[in-house]
Amino acid sequence: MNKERWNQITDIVDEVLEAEGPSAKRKILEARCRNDEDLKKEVRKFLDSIEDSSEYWDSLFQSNRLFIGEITDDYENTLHEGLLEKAATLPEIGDNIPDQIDLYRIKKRVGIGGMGEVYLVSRIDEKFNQNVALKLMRHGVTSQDQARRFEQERTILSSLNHPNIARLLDGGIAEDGRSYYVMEYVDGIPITEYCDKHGCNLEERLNLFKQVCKAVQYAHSNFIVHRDLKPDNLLVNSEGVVKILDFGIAKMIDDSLDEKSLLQTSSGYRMLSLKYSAPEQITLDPITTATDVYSLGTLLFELLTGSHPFHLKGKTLHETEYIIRNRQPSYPSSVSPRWKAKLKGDIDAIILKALRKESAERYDSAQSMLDDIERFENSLPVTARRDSMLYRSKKFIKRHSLSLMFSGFILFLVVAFTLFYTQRIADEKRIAELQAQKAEQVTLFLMDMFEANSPSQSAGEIITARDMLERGEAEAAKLEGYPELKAQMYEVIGEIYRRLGQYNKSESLLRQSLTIRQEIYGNYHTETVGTFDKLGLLLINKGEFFAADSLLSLALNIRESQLNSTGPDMAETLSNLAFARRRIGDSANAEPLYRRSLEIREEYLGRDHPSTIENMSSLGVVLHYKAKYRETEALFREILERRESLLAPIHPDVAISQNSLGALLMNLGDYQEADSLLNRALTVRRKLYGNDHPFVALTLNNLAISHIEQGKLSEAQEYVNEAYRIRVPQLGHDHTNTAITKFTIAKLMLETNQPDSAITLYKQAYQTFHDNLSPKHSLTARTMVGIGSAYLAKNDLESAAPYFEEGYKKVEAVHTEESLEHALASIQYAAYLMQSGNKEQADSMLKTARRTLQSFEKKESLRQENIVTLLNQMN
Amino acid sequence: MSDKSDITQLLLTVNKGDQDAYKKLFELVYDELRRIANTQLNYEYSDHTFSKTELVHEAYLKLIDQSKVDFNDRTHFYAIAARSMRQLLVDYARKKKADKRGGGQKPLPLDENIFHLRKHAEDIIELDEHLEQLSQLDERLGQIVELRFFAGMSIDETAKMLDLSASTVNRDWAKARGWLYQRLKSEHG
Repeated sequence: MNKERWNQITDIVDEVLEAEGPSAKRKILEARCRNDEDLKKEVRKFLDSIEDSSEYWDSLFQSNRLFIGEITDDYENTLHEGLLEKAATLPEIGDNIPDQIDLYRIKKRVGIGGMGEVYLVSRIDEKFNQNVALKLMRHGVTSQDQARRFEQERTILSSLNHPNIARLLDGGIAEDGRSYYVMEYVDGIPITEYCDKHGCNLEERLNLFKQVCKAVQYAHSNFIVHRDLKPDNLLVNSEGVVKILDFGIAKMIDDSLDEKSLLQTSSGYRMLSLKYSAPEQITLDPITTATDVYSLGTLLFELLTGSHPFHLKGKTLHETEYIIRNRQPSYPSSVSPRWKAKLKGDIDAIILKALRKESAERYDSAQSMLDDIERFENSLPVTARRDSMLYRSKKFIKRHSLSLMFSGFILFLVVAFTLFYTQRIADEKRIAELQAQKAEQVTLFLMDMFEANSPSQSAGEIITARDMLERGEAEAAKLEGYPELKAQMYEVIGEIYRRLGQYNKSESLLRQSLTIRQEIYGNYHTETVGTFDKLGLLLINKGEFFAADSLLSLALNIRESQLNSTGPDMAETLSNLAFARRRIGDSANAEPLYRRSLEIREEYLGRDHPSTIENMSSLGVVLHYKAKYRETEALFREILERRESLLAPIHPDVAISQNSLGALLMNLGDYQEADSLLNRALTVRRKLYGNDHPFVALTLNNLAISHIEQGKLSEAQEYVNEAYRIRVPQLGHDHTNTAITKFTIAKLMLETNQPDSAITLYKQAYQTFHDNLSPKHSLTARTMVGIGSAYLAKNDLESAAPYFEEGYKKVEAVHTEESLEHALASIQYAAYLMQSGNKEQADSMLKTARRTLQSFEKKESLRQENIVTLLNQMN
Repeated sequence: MSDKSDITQLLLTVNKGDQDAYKKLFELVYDELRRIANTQLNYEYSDHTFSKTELVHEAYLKLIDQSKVDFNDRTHFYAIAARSMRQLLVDYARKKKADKRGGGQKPLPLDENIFHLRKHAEDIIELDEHLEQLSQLDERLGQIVELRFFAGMSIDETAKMLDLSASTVNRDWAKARGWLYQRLKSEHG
């Protein structure tokens, strides 16, 4: 840029900056750049950078402060000697102990601290020779005024009379001008040391802490703040009684110091003390009772976890200050080696509330902290938990004010959607909802609208909706500088694509949303975890069950340990994780998760809520898999009934119910009702999603299996071919659902006497199940048995043997004898055993299978006829 | 030679346009700033006591005999001090960058804060370069950045120093911020 151009641009920029209000600014810009588009562009760019730059500069300023701090630290080494020299100018702490200070005879020195020395003394004029402690300060009192203030404070402190506070008895100025004070002598050890030495359990530690709280509360009610609560000042004597030392001394000393002596306080001492300082002590904001509450939080943290809330070891002064002011402490439960489970939740919340950076957000007194601990001990609800929700939502709203401001764009999108929507149905209520200004409501509204929309549309009209989505996506991409909103839009659109079955498109959007949120919020945040949930569900849809499992396990972990989630969000994560586990074949783990999420949903959403019912349905699928057929059937029938009464006949959830119940009845041998339900589901799904949706393929596949079981092979062929035609292009060859279709076709090939084709398909399916699910999964095992059967059909017993042996063993491992899967594998294996001459084993296996089938089949199925045929062959 | 009256004399000479005097004074102020920075160690609460503005003020009080200088000289001194502060920071940033390249003779604790400051060192070096260019386009803007960012002066102080209205400084500061931000950002892709 040359100078002339610079001047031209900055002149306009100046004028625009001076103008007030956006319209005035726009007018100037237009007027000054009249016909010069390039100029206008450059001026705009300049103005935008000014706008965008504040945050960057704020952080630059902030870093610069730290940076300067580091420069001084850097000089520390070279200055070290100089410092020592300076320290030497302070009153000497020598080996020579004075015999007497004022009226106190010194017996021995019991400690040296940064502030001075502590002696065990007794009063000269005291008959009983009672031992007391005398602290002789390093610094001197140099003016009358200081001496007066010191005396004043001392009088106030002497009035503190509490069994857990070491009593201040006397104080004064020694001959050399140094101040001293005398207090009750406590023969004890620091509280943390005491706990470790005696191996105190959680209850004992809490009891000690409660003693501290009570004493602090007593002092606070006398308007005295300790300011320097730390283990060294909290001694426990041999009777297990806590004594707090130096109450109010910090203030007394600070008040009596002049600036010069404050300067001379050696940095070593301050470093020690800094470890227990509250943020306001660093920023020199007013010290209040909340300052002690903070220290209590630090103390409790240390008592229960064995470590300090922050890692301060090896940190410089400036780093330490920075950390205390800015860093969030870890969750106590996450660092406690002993009581992880006990601390999780309530104690975490109590300690973190005490450790809030803003003093107003902490407990307002030691008493209220004590109350919360007692509530915890009595298993009552703790206030900190509730506050922590409030606290987080307050912060959330603060962070989101920007996106709320920018709802204009959302409004545009809503209008676009609405135009589309209102053409179809005139629904006054929904149009009224359009006025909703909050981005979050808009999001929900968009989702609602889509839900209401897609079911009743034919395939052609859905394309229009997809156009809208693409437009929305393009608009969202332009949201530079509004990352929160951008992430939200990507998530909404990604979620809609997921529902439309366009998984790749959905994944790319959800991942972008996740990346943005991780950048803004980190992982431990509701928003980010919400995206984990959506992405997890998508991964399940894509057949990436293990990836989904690890993502959702992480989400659950964060919700439990960091966010203390309850309610529908928690249920969402639980049921998604259960879904992933179910698809992996881990029903044992899926069932309790589904039951937990169902309980939450029934409580929060009610029994008739779609999510509650969907949850019941998922639980049913697990029970089905676990061969609890009667329970499953009752559950599925109830769900279908409820859905049919609550929802429109053409609704996705109705189709899900019809499909699930149909598949179950098919397994139970009730083909007539099964086919009728599956056909109804198919019709609904075709209407809702068009002909190429994965859900349509799923029902087609079920119909194919049902028809194979009934021996209606040519119809089965048609169904399975269509399923295959849909699944391969949509999902690819390696998707689990594609493999299920291959498995079905292979079965059909076997029935139509084409064992070679069956082997090829089974083997492909086997590979997919093996890789996507696990070598031990039911489908993997059953496919092995299938391969065995195909070799058997070719009379190749040798090749069949290993497949049968391993496959059957695995089926036995995952399915009980009462399950259909077990029975079917037994029939197949028995046929092999017969051929290979092992008739006895085959006989008993077939009889067990028949008993199983008889136990749940309503009518004798072809499968049972098969058994009879085989048994007859043997005899 | 760093006697108060000598230094004050030096400042007066600088104001008559003596380049050598400028260099000498610059070095003196630089040393003094470093020295003051060192003694800051003894302050316990750096955020309170150790601001850049105070550093500069303190250097002024230490080095210059105020009875001998007028407002104009004072302004000059502050401009030089701001420039020195800039130099001080840039020198330290370079040193830090070089330390890193040298393979870390001194093991640093792994802390995001420290990582952050290393990044800041690089930012400072880049900022310094772009600031040079900005000064060529508009000297006043460059000076405002020095006073605001490197010497830590407020808008009002800067305005007084340069004998401008606060709103002008505000505008200039906005332009400088925006322009530098654009430059720094485009460099990072």
